[in-house]
Amino acid sequence: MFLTRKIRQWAWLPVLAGLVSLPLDFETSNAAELYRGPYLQLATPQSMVVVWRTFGKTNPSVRIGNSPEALDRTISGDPITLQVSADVKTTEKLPLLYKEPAADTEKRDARDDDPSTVANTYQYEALVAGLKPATRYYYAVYDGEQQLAGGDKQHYFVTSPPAGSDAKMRIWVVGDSGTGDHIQRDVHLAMQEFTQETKRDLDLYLHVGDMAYGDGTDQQFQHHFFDMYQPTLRNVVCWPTMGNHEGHTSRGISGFGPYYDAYVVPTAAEAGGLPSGTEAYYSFDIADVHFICLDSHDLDRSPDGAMAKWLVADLEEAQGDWLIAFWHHPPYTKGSHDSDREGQLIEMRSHFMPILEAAGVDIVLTGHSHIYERSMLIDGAYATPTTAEGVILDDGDGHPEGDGAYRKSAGLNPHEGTVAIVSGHGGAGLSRRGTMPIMREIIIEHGSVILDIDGETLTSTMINKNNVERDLFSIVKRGKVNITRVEKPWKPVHDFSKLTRFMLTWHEETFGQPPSKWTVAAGAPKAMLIEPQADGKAKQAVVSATDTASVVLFNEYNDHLKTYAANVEITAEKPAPAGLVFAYQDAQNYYTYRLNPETKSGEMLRTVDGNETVLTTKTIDLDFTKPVKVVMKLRRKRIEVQLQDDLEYTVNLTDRLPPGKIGLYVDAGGKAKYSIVYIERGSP
Amino acid sequence: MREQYIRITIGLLVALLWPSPTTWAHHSPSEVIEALSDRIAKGERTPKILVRRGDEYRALGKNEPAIADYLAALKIEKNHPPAVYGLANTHLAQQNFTEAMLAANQGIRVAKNPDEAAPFHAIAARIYDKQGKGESASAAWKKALTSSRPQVDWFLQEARSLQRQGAPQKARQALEQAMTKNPSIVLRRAWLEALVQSGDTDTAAKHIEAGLARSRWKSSWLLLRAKLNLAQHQPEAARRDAQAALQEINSRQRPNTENHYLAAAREQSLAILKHSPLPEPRP
Repeated sequence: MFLTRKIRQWAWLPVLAGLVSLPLDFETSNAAELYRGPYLQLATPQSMVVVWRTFGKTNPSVRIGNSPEALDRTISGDPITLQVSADVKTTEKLPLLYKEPAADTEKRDARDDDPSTVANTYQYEALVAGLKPATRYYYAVYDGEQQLAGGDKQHYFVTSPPAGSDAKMRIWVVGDSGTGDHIQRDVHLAMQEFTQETKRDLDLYLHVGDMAYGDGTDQQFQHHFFDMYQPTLRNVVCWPTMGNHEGHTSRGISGFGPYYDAYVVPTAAEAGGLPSGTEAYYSFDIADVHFICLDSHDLDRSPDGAMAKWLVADLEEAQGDWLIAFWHHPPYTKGSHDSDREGQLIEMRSHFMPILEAAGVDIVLTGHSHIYERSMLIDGAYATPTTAEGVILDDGDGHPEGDGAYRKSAGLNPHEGTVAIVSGHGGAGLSRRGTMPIMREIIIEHGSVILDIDGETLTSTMINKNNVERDLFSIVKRGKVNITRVEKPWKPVHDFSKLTRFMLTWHEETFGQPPSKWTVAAGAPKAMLIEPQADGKAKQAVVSATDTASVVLFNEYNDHLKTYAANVEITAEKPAPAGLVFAYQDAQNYYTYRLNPETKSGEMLRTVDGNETVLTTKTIDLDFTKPVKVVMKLRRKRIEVQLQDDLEYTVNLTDRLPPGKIGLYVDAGGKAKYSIVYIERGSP
Repeated sequence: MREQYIRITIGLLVALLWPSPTTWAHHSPSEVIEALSDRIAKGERTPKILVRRGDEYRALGKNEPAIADYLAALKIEKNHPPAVYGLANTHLAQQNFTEAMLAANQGIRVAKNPDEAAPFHAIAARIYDKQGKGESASAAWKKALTSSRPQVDWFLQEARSLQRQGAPQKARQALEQAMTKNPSIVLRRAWLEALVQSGDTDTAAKHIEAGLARSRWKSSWLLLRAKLNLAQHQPEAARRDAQAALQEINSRQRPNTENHYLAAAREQSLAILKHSPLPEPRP
């Protein structure tokens, strides 16, 4: 097992090597060559769309049948639509795949990839219609009589069961996965192992965005999505929602870009629901499950916007027994993002959650925040900041063998509870900045979510990248359930040591008092007090020193540092050096970065056994009596200092920075104000 | 064969030197701003980076630094379209109509084709709408809608603009035209409203009845039928529909929580009930 894992960890090296060698082949090859797919899209009970790409023109067809040996039906001609890369010269006017606008190409940074479709690309989308519901078909794609792919046991699909029939399905949910690295591969492999062990194949795949880092370019889609997931994509449809990284090159407004080239999704209610008229948001039905996909990235998220209006209309007519919604930006999170602070997340919560919950939504799936967070059974949590008071309908763990499954009435009923899942842990670097009070599980591990729906029961399992079950809950919808709200709900533990980055605030402290969680290590007992900022409302810490320097330390941190930042304002009436203390071992050993108003400089100091040494002095042309944003990025043997998002310099160290406490510093006779203190935990 | 070995060797070297996978992590707007500031501080002061930072500021509702970044981008490249677009939108958000219009016109002037100009015409149209200049707004919407990929919102806003100008027939025609280009249910619903407002009650009635039969939640259809009944001078029928709608809305709305859509529907129901009083009791 260990060996397998080791091999897996490094398996991406030869793959990447291969990928690097590919473009040479791309440019020199003239023969028609399959390079993407075949993969499946837009499943309905009667149809499937098979998509593939070649270099060079082909005579395309799809052959299907009930066994790989008997592909007795051929689809060619009109049901196959063709799009080509912009360089392809044709006599007919064909729709073009994405090409970067010329003006952007001229200005593109040399470090950025060309986002355009690879030259000489032909993309085929074959509508295979007239199929039987819930039936397995094998398929192959052809160039004339030459088989390009398929015709074996691995290339098959199963059509959707009829709308309204009892659901029995397995769904794979992944987000923020598109790194193209071994972690993404492991998460995928873990899902494959899980489905094999549990003897149940996937029926569909929901990707909640950020599938092609860093900019969603056409080649990033190829390497970070299609090459990675092809063994899954050839058998099940991936229903996508656009992430912000895809948004670097694709536009929801125009439906244009590599993301929109890659997918074929409903715009005219082809798979149920109501027509959205755009690929940016859509709905579809599979059995008695109604799925909603929204664009949280670059469309109007206002309650009067077209997307909200479409959602209202769609939900009025939705007839399923289960309702699952997915989009990219989470309504509730304290992972790598904060839903109490960020506009897109707040808007999705306050404008879209009410519409969905008034229609009886069961599960809300999102990504964006690189973490796994899963809520209790909640309803009506629209306020900012999110609180647990009055919004928890069941504060148990939802585990059938634990506190028991969450209960809802049969069918879709307003405000009977939703479980919100952030599944942004599919591959990208993880982090946690706080504790969202409505969450039941917060796990900082890479993985994915498997949803199993079987009639009246939905079971959600989070497996990590090693295929270890890390969370499981169920919802049972049966009969009529009386809904009550939990008065004093269970609270997730706010374990500070598990946060990877966080902002220190004083909003719960009292004006004129020393803050809790801070200790004066040097100076008067009341060296640090909470005072109002200029607006009279926001709070800041004010540190003063009399005849000796003051050092105040934050009690809850004693670790490696990656980033330490704060706004520092030296008061005009008591100008003296002031700044930040870090890597604090004891009163005799620590580092200080301070702004010196007298010398108009930034000074990096090291104190060893009580002896202070100035490591660097950098002249700085800034007014220190106004807030100066100081950002320190601490690396092994150097510190990158950045002031006011502009001036930047590096301080080299002789030793590696040790883990330690952090704090604030004011020299004798001085006084300074501190706000927006930000910390990012480092690693050993 | 030798070439293949060279390729693989280069590939392996690139793979070994590739940054750690965790460097793909992305961050909150404030952290993105910090990262972009870092790049700018290191000399990468390009219009693209400045616009990206401006957009992040705008996402945080920090309009002033956003404007500063767009202007800084325009100093480097005086007609950089994304900077002009960001600037126009930010000024519009601040209700600085003169500056917003200047930026919109700049965008229109430098656009190379109707598709590039369309978003700027849409901004101009919004400004005119906000200023109550109906005819100018309609003209600007028309130009925006020449785009090969017009937004559903643009069609809706054009129709709303026409309705505000007291031209329901024109609004209806505009929506009919829009429906030939886009199948969105939102346009269809707006068209049904326009049918009622323009007096084509028979056509509207057929669609409303079909909608009522299809829907699980019926309040929006009931409200539309109530408006239709009012247009047909049937206040009692309108009242019945409004009451039924109100009952359903109340069953779906949770007290003390905001639901913009249901609150608006509730207000509509109450307004219809207010304007369709109960008949005088018979003696």
